[in-house]
Parts: sequence; structure tokens; C-alpha cells
Amino acid sequence: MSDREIMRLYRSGATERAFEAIVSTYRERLYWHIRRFTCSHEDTDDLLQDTFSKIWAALPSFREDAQLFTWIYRIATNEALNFLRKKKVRAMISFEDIRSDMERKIDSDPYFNGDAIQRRLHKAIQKLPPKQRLVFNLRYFDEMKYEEISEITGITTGSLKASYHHAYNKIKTELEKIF
Amino acid sequence: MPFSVPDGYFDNMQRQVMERIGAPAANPVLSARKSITYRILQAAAAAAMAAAVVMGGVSLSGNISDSRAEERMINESFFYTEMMPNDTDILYDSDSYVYIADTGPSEEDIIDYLIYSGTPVELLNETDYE
Repeated sequence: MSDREIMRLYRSGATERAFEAIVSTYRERLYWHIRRFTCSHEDTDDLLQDTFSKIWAALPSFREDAQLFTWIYRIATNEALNFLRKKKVRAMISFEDIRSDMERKIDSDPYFNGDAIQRRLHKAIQKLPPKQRLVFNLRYFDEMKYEEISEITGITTGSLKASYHHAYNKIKTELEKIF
Repeated sequence: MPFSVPDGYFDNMQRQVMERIGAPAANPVLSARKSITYRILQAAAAAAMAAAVVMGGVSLSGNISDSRAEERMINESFFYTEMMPNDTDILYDSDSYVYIADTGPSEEDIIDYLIYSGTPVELLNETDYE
């Protein structure tokens, strides 16, 4: 179901059905979006459910001046970034340590079924600073336009392009080490 | 993606989410929000209480200081009152407080004070310091 159809359903008063359509349409996309941050199925599951609960709670205030999908991604992205911040605060550790933790998670993830190169790629992504990682993931995996990423993150397209460029070069350098 | 999910995960997740929103009391996000709001209110109430206690203390202390100043003015003629240490002395000059407390004013100090405060010489002669 398209975003337009979902919102039409919502405005007609069928709020639960509209929300069900949102969950059905976005569950997999948001799952992978969040999982690229957490590197853990369990954490992703918690965050995904929280994300949908927040979407449900905030849906009445959605004014449709933004696209539904960018609004939904913004909520999911905030959840993921807050997760990383809380993790850092709770453990009183730096993002560097979190990255090492994430790399360990990739190694021990029972649901990881990629090859060595893919493992290396995901480890390289975890080494990126949060903003670069976010831009890289949305651009590379979700194939979003810079304008759409800008709408989600509130970052200018110029800054996004620079971030993506830096992220791309860092990942390229990491991958070149194994070839 | 090189990751996988447990079998039937997305369907189960959708069911869980719909159950969660269908039962507001069991909605962890909403209850967490309530909890945070409740905690903020609790903290604000505690801060207000602490502020009230502090302000009350300051105000009371001010009143005490005022009443002390009044008392001092009333008893201006009573020289010894002026020589007694008060709380301000303790705060600003604890050494002199210790000195006064340990030794008390000397006779010379008392005479100096009386002369300084303009006490008539006749009265000075009549005062028995022994």
C-alpha cells in the first residue's frame, strides 16, 4: 500500500487499519535500517517495536507537510541514534569502544550469513562516525536520494554529500586491505 | 543483506506491535513516558521543596539578623552586647571569635569602648570592673 493510500485510510477514521498498513509496509525496511546500527537482532527488535509505538502515538500530529516515509525514517533513525548514545552513556565508553563491541557482535551474530567480504564491509561501516554511517547506510543500502536523506536527518545535501564521500573513501580503504 | 532473522519474525513482530497499541495500559512506550513525566514532576516537586526550605531558612535568618540588629540598637548603651561575638563574626573572622571566647574583653578594652562610645567620664569612674 502506498503512503498516499495509507494516509487516506487514516483520514477516513480507520486509524488501526492504516497503522497496520504502515507496519506491514515498513517493518522490513526499518528493521534493516535499525539493524545496521545495532548489529544485533534482539536490540533491533526492541527498537523496532518502540519505533512503531512512537509512530502510532505521533500519527495524529503528523501534518503531511513531509512525506510519510521520511517522517517514519526520522523516528526510526532517532531511535537508533538514541540507542547508541544511551549505550555510550550507560557504559561510559567512547564510540571507538562501541565500534569494537559492534564488530564483535558481527563476528558472533548467529543470524549473519554473509561471506568474509560482507563481514569486512559491515565492520568497516561500524568504524564510521554515526553521522557518516547514517548517510552511508541510507544512500548505499536504502538507495535514497540526498534530498530524502536531508529531509530525514535535517542535514543539508551539501554536508550529506561530503559525509558520504568521506564514508565511501574510508570503507574503500578498509576493503582494499584485504585485496 | 548478509543477515537473517528468525523464522516468522516479521509476522510475529507485527502481531506484537498491534497488541501493544491495542492495549494502552500495556504500552511500554506510553508507560515509559508517563514514568519519565512522573519522575520529572517528582524531581520538580523535590526541587521546589528544597528551594522553599532554603528560602525559608534565608528569610528566617534575615529576620533573626534584623531582630538582632534591632536588639543591638535598643541596647546600644549596654557596651558588652557590642563586644559579644555573633554569627557574622564566626563566619567572617573565626580567629577573633576564638580569641574573644577564650580570653574575654580586657578591662582596657572595656574602657576604650566606653571612651569611644562617648560615655561620660563620671560614669566611667562609677563603674566597678572588679
